[in-house]
Amino acid sequence: MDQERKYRKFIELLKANQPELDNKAELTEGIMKKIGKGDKQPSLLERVDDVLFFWTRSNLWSVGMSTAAVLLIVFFISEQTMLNRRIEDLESKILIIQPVEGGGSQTNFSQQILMKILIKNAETIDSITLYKSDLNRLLRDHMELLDRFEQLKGEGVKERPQKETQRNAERGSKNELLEL
Amino acid sequence: MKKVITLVVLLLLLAFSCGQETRVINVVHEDGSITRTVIIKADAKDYLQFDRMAVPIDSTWQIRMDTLPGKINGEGDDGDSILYLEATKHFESVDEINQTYTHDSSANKRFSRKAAFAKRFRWFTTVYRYSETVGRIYQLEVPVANYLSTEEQEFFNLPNSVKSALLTGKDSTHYHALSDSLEDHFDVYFWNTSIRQWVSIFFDHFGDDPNLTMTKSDMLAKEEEVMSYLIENRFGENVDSIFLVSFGQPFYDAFKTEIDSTTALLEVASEPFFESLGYDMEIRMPGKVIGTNGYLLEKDTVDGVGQGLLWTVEGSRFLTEDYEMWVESRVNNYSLWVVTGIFIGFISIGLVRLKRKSSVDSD
Repeated sequence: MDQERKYRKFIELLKANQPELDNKAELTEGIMKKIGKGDKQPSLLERVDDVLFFWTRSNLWSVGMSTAAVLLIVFFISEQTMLNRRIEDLESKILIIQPVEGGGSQTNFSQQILMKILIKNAETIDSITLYKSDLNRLLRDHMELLDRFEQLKGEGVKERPQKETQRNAERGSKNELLEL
Repeated sequence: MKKVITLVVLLLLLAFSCGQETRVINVVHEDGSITRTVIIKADAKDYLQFDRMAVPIDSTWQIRMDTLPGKINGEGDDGDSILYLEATKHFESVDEINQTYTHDSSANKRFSRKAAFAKRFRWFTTVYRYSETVGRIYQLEVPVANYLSTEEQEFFNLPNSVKSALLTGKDSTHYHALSDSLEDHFDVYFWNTSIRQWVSIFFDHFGDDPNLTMTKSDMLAKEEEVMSYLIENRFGENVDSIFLVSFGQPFYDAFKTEIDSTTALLEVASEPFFESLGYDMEIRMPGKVIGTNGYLLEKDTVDGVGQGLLWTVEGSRFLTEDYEMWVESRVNNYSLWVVTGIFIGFISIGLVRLKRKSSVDSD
């Protein structure tokens, strides 16, 4: 009984000493707001927002994602700069020119060396000299072979090669290899 | 005499090889497959046989033949006509091309040729590299650059059709003089390397002979003497005189058989140089070219589509060095650019929101 009496007296003393509140109005408002929010369900947009931007709530995640974005930008810029520099260097080195059709024979070194080996007089390296009798015999034999070939094929002799070889014979062949 | 006859036969072979022009066009695709088109222009049907062609072609290719007006290598009369052959085949990978080179029965079957393809994914771009390499003819590795000036070397590396354009263009006098000096220096390079190759073959086969008192260095020291004899006498009628003059009668008498054998082996080793059928190689890559050792065509002269890079393949270019024709190109991966842009935008929005939230909380 004494204990109970002492307990009641203590409670009364505590009730008599009320806490002092500085911002009563704000506290009341904050409590009322929280009570109001607790009733509402978050919208779809807010839920998506929460999922997508979850990383903004964590320092580690936000730093990591920012660093990844910066690295991607730096990598892109450096790669494009390097590639563009290579293209510019290349354009300054590459010879862009319209090649000549059929321009292959003039600089064949193996042929030139062989010609020098076989032809002692360098001044005549681009020409050969034939006796006219040898030339005529060669042309005669060539035309005879053509005739026989055409006979075998069962066709007439073509007029064009004959005219051409005759033209070459009249011109003389001091410095040309004939087309056979 | 025997050696002169051999060379005359070679000359005839070369004379026959002049009546044709070959261009090989490789269109490289992003998946590593290659469509190869070979265009041959010839003045006789003999050059259109598979074993007379510059690259391996067989009956599995799609072949089209025609007769067109034109000349071969600029020789002939106006109004002449030429035979035209176009052969196309699609290869799924470079391995298939390399297989054709391994079982090569073309005129250039003595060449050691290899193709390679590589693809590197670099997120924003994909880089492609294609190369074809022809192995050197002589086993010695002697850079031709040691014998040529910088300008001569640049001219030497040009495709033949480009050289011809320069020799007939506005600075033709300068380029003719350059061509003549290049020819002289190339002669020195050829004979120098042939002498060294001869010495190398001799010592590889007969270096252990107990009667041999001359060392390899002694023999190589005679290089200048042999060179001046060759240049003065232009091979001469008696080939053996080179060895007599350079190494002396006792050496020649003791090793005549070995000298003949070595010279025969050198001739065999030199055959790919003398007998090679030159051709132009054109490579077209996906995307934009970012690196190459070839030459960019101003516009395509074959079918008017796309730009290619051009090289000439002939024996003089890989006598003592491997000849690699390579090109790199890049293709932008635009889909990944969009994905990355969206990601960066998303991060930016998140950071802006974070900044706003922290400024509201601090208020």
